[in-house]
Amino acid sequence: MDEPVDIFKLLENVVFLKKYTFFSGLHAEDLKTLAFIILEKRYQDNEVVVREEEPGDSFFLVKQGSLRIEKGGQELARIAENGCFGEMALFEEGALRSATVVAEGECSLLVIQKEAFFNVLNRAPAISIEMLKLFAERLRDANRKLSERTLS
Amino acid sequence: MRTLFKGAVPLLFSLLFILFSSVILGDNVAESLLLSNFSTGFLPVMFMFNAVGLFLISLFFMTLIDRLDRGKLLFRFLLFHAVGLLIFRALIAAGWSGAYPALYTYAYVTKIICFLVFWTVANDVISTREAKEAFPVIASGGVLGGVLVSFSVLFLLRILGTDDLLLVWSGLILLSLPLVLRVVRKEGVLLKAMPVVGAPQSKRHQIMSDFKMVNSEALLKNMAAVYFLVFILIFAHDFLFLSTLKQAFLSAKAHFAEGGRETLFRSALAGEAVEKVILKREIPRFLGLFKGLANLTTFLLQLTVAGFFLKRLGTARAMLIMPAVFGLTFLAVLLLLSGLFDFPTPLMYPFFGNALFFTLCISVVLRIAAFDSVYSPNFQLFFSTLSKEIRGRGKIFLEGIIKPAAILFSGLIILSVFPLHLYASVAILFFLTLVLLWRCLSMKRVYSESIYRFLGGGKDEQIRLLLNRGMHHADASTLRILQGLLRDTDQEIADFAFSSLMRIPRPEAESIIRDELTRVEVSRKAQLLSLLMHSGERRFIPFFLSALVESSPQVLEAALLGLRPEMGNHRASLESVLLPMTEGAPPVVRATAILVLWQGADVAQRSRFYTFLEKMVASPDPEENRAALSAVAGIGDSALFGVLLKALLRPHRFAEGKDSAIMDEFIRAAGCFQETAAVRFLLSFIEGATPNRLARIEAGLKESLPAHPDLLLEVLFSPHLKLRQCAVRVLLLNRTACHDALKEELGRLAEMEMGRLYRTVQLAHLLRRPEWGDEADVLSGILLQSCVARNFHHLMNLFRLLSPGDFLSSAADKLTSPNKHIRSSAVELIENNLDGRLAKQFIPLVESETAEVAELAKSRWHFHSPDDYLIFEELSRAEDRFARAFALYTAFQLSNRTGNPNYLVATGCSPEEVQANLTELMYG
Repeated sequence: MDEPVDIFKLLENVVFLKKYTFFSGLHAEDLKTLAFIILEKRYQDNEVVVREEEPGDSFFLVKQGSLRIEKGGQELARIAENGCFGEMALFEEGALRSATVVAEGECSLLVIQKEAFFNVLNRAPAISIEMLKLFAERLRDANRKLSERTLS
Repeated sequence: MRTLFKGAVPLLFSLLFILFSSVILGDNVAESLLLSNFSTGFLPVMFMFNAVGLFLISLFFMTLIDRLDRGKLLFRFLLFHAVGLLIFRALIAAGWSGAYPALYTYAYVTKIICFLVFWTVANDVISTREAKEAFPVIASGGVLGGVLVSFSVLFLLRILGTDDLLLVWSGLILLSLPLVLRVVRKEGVLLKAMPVVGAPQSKRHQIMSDFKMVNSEALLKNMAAVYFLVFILIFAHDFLFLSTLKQAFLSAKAHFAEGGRETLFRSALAGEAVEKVILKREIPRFLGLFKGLANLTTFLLQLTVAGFFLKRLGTARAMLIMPAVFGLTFLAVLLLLSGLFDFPTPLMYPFFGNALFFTLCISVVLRIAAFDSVYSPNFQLFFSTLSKEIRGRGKIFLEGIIKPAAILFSGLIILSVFPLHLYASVAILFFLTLVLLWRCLSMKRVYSESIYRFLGGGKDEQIRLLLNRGMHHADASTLRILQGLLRDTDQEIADFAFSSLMRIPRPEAESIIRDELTRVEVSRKAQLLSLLMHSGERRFIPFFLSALVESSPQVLEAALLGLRPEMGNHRASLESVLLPMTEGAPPVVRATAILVLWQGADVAQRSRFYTFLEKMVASPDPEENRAALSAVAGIGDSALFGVLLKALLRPHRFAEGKDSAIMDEFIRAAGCFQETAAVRFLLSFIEGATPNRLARIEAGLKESLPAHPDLLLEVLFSPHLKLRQCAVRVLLLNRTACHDALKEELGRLAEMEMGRLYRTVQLAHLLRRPEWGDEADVLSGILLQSCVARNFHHLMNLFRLLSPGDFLSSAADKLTSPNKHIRSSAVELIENNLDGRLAKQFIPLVESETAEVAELAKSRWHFHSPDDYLIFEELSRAEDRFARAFALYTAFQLSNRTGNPNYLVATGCSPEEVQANLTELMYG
């Protein structure tokens, strides 16, 4: 954060977070705080974003493009534009990535790093609530899949 | 009307339609079966059985209704009811004649319980504000069901016997079960029972505690009084109407005998006495038509204007409809009976020139319409603000205990007074109407208090009382626990334990305090002495005296301040200790000694102290500055204004605010003076002040700002929002300064503030167009959240100044609550406590959709929609910094995207300046 923040990029990210992510329930001013710590990274086709079993400390939001999730060389799922992944890395101590994520075509990702994120949580607790909602949703989704598999 | 066709309303409408149909059918069946097997003389006995049955069942239900899931309770009750009817059918088939009276009482009691549980469920799932429109419509479902089933009975009787109608009755109830399940599935969360606190109780104890709980709720008690009076008046009114009807019809014997009615004519020819035929056929026939007409009127009212009427009038005011109807009725009857008033009445059927009967007919139609379409749905609204754990029991208390009591009481009046003198009886009814009016008027206050508590108002005071009460009865174990907590690493807990010990007026507690003061290090000792000082209790004086031997300046400062109230009593002895401190001691002790000695000092001493303080303020040592200013603030004597001015002349130290502690003391000192310079000085620091400093500034302005009326108005109507907000909060701290003329100005200010919000909503609405992209949409959201919702607090502060009492204090932060029941109660509180015009302007900002508010901005406030570019021109001047930044960014993006520079030009910013301006606005 030593470099001066590009003010246009900052506001563009506020708009993206507000319009297209699960953070849309937050006030734009809280999102401004979050947008300050967001880094934007671009990935080329087939470039690996995170690798299975490697340590991770970042959470990703897909601003543009799409990605595929692979485990043991097999494709598990796809992440479309406005989707997100890697949230466990923010809260789990010494977390290892559970799968590999690869860019499909050119991608633009917003990256939130663990340490900066925790600083923001101290200043804007409303963000924690949105994260909890995300976890609950993921947990419900996982439970649903599990029960579907059990039944089948 | 938009809320009426979504959510639970259609479901509840349909459910009540079926339930009401079943109840009307049940009433007819049970009454017909009883009358066909027993004489009419048996009816009064059955009324008594009904009252007793209702009372007993109510006691039973009281222990269930708030302790079970209410959705499941309704389902199980209806299932049990349907099965119960089948059992009755079997008993009748078996030839048991006791089944008829038992069924009669069963029908009456289940009817009351059925509606009671239904309306409690409706209260749970519909908020108070929605209920104003929704309840009359839901109730109309019931009336419609009643009307339809009444006609259907004639047809059903052709194909089924009365006994078999029991099966239809049971079938109707079973038909309602899928609807109940749908309500439970849709709104189940709202119907869950509140968790039971404490150990399980026996039934007897449960009933006792239920009565205690009901008795402790002022709103419920007032509702019970109103309910009691209304039902007495209804029964008496009905009796008056029926007895006059009988008289009117019997007096018109000639009309009937001359063939006015074909059936009667035939019967007369057949040899039946005309009087008997009138009683057996003409009166029931008239009553059928009359009730049909009254119900139709009610149904039309419920479906059309009742909701609108309730919303316009407000819950508390709508209660006045019943005293109004009864008052007019009994006054007119009194005037007619006394012969002071008369009017020509049609000679035709059914009035036969009887003015009294004509008046009573009109009044009964009015009463039924007013009761069913306004009073009854409105009465249900009060239950919404009762806490959920008492709501059901409150209803049962009214239906199961108050209503039977009202039946008995009105019976007594009818039996004892009516036969003696009609005029006196009506006069008593008029008097009871006046009592009802008084209770309805007091409903407004009680209702406001109830919502105030529901929203959490007055909790601090309750906690304080509870703590004091608890501490006065503290035992040895409490003392041990508190003593242990004194050593807690969390200072707030340790402070709490110490403050609790201070509240215990026992030697053991004082001994623990003494030990603690000896044990802790000096800085903590100073803090504890400050806590003792704030208690203001004389029994702690020895602690302060013993601390005077300490060398720590902080401890000495706290001890001296603790002794300040004692100066009047022991000046001579304390002076000998304190005077030397004014010269040789550390700055804080010197200044505090001067502060303590100032009151009661002679002219020479004061002059010496003045010089000391002046020197300390001018000193290069910040510690001396802070101590001197603290003393000036503590003394609060206008004679020391010169010392403050001396400080004002040293802006490099004070005005720049580099030293936060000195700055705070300076603000505190400035707040002690009423001089314009001191007030303006404080005002100048508002704009950039932190919340803590703002609170200090406002405390300082509490007396001085209202003392300068012109300056106060200048600040109240300042273009800077923060100044306006501050001025209003200052007045809240000093409400006695709000005289009538100032209140008029505050009303004007409230309207102006609301006008600003309407304009902002209008602009936010105009920004929502797809072709303007995501930025404009986000900007619209920012305007609604930052510029409108956040300003509700300021408006509520203004409203608190304009309304009697301080009920609105609990509503301020509830208007944006995610819980619709809380939001709705907050709006109710505003509606019932604020001037009608202001409330009408404010409530749409909270309740209505953006598009509706934008329309109101045009029609009510005459705000024209600005041209596209001018929206950005206006927003570039917005009071909120973030909104200004986003408006500039949006205008910039729009200009880039469309190639039209006018969006940006309208903000007064060139393309080259955008980045710098945005950075300035975002970073400050």
